[in-house]
Amino acid sequence: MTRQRTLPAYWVLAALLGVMVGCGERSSDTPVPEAVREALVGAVVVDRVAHTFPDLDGVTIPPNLCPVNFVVEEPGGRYIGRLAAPGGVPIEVMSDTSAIVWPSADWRRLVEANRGRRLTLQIAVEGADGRWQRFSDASVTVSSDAVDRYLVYRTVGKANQAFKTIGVHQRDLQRYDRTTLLHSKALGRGCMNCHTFANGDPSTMVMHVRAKPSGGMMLIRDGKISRVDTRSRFNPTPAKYVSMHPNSKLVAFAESKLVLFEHSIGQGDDVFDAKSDLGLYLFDTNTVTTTPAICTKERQETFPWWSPDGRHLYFSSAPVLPPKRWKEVRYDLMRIGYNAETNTWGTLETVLSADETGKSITRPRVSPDGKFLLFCMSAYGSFPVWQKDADLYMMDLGSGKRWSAEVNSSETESWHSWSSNGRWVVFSSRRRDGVLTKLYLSHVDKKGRMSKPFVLPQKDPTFYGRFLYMFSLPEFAAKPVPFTEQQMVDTLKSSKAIEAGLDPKVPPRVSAKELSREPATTPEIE
Amino acid sequence: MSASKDTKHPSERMPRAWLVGVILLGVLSVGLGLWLLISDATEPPPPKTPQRALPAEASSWDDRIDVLARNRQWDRLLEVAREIPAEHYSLMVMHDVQRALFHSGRLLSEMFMVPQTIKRDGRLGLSSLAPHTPRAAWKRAEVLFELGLVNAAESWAFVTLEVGGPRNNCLRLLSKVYVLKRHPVMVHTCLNALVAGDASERAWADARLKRLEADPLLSDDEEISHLRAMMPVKDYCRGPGTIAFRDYLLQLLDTNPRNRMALEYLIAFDLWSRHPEFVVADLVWWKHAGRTDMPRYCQEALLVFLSDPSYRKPKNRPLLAFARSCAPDIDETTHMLFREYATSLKKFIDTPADERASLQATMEKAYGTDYLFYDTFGYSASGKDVQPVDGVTGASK
Repeated sequence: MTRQRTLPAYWVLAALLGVMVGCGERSSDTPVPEAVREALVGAVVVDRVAHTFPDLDGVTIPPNLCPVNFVVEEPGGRYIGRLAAPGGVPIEVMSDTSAIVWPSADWRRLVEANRGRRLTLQIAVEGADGRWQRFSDASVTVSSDAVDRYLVYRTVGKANQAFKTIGVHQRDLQRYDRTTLLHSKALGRGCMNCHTFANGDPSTMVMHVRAKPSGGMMLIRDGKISRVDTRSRFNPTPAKYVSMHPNSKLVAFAESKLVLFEHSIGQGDDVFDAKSDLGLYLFDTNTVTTTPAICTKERQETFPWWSPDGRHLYFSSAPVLPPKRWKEVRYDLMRIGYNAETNTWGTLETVLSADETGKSITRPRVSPDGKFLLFCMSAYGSFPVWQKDADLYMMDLGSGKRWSAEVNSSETESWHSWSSNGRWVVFSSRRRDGVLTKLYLSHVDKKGRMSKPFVLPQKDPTFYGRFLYMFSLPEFAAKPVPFTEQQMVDTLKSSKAIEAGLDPKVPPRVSAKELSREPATTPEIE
Repeated sequence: MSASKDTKHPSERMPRAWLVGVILLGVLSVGLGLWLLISDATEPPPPKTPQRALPAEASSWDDRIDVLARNRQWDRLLEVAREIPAEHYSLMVMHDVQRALFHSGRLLSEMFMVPQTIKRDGRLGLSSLAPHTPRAAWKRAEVLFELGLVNAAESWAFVTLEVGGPRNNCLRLLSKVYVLKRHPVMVHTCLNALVAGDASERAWADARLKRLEADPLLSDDEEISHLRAMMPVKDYCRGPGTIAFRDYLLQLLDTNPRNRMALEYLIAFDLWSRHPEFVVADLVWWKHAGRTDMPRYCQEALLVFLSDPSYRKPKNRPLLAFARSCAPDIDETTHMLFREYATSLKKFIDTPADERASLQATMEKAYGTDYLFYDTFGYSASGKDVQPVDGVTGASK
């Protein structure tokens, strides 16, 4: 009882402190502009751009993005950030810490007023001797192309062996709000992955969940949420690596057997795909189907992705090799025609062969206008996220010309996704620390050239400096996911899974007895 | 530029913000005062959980041993371990006891003085400890780090964080991992996370950062320098599949034959698994490391190997030659023990099966802490009835 009575006192105290801190943000005997002006006028000029995280010099940002706060990575006692542009009032921040946090309303006004123009970023740092140093101006371009408002992504622990800290979240890019769509904690223990929706619209969405006692494919459709057991006598293991067809009536998926292994140096973890084939799950008929061309015994096929017109399914394909030859596995980039109206398959084509590139080609993603293909290449295998040499490559689908994406670094680049207008790409990279993947955004121009990327902004720019999780599987969304975590958990825990049937035209691979409907307990590897 | 209300510079709105702040502050101060007045001011603060419980206050053998291991009080740990009844020797306890024996330089001369059994996993707790319990994950991370298996230690440290294990120790360890792996930004991230979670760690973290600023590799840090000399420098990866425990240790010895922990853990594993031929092969590493002494249990294993006709196969010729070259290192006490034990064993074998129990008990009393006995019966030091461990929970069945 007593404890309950005192709790509000703590809240009041916290609120009081909050008010004091809030007031303190602007506390200074000298009005900020005047202090800034004085500091900048008298400052010693340093002939280089200040080191900041994120590195903002030369980046292009969407006009509807939340403020890109940053940390000045220069020694000092006080810091000034000043953002000016041809239109609007400059924003000036003087801070006692190296974190520069822009006032949101001022940022919005300034950025909105300067679509298609450049902003000038001035940074000054006060040294221990009380003298200010002013660094060369940095330049930030505001694109006239907006980005989708939401980003759905996953955070996961680096080891990810206990499957207790995996979460799929939805981030509002215009603000900093993050909503957790589903977290393993809500299920006790489990793994969630492979969320996909067509054309950036999560009104129709699937997400895979592996948890006891009630995993499966969560299907959001027509305002309802249901749980589907995608296993059939063709695919005795659940679907993974899903891609929603643009008609929102089916998904392509891979059925894979992934084996973990480890290295004694460098990035410790690695994955070998021992077996994989592709199939489709048709929502209306609750049926799994496929064609022999994408589920051969001699080759393994994975990472399906639909072209925006839905007429081609792109995927990666490699000859089946024994595990001891893991380093020799290189995937070709293929595509096959498909007619969703008639559920008939077209011609199989090689888009780009591993023989030609000398590398393994994975995770094809076609731009929404169908002009470009963004994919990953790494030395071997199907798991670029664990390979330091993994880079993104762009292909002009009209000319067949391809090039290393301008965003690549000396560290891993992977998990890429297009915005619904095709002008932005989000991808994961280890460039910051060599260990934990973070999400980066980059503008793509009409020629498929990508601008210098910047890390997903956070309200507290020091956030990444202490966050020990990895970001993966980013997907842009124009609208928020229409269900809450509780609704998803309720569906998983209380609803009976809809058991998928197998298309009678597809020969079964396992007997009805061999097809276990027990919950899949081996969590997915991502 | 028009100076409309909306486009006013923030500083121009400051007086108003201040006014609102001061009013709110006043209202909240009065509210807080009133609340404190009516609330029970005599309520005692909640009891503080001690950071490190004293061994005597600990609730179980596991807890007592764990606290001593965390504090690296190896001699005290071994003293306490002597009091533990054989049936209370959990894998956790065994893991810590063997680590304590190693750090006290007694692993290969005293490991059978604790209740070992072939029925239990003998990988010194590295593989069988229930992996997803916080304490087990942390123990794995710590011992793998000590061995020099930096990548594996990194992985288990992250598992420890994932399952909510010892956070501060874990973040400190990870910061060292990233010094060794030359990821300076990650060193900062770990130290920042450490301080963010526990402000009392600031002094240590700041001191560390100061040292790193002067020397990013911490070349003058004894622990870091030692580990840098032990950690693998090439990739031993052979592809998908689990790496055998011996292979882990052999990787380390291939990297640095002077990795004392890897060598002693390797020999201990071979003794536990009752492979005297492997023990003899391990002695090659022993000599290579410049070690001149031969631990007691190695001497016993050497005698078992030399006396067992089944090892006299053509393929074992080089190993036999090497074993014979080591024979002068066996002291007279061990020779005498071996002769006595061989006599007892012959008597045991010659006794009808249904009459052997009492003889075995007599032998256990006389030789129960010797490798010779363990090699024959598969248990030591009253460990006969120690039960296998549940692989999921880590508990004795």
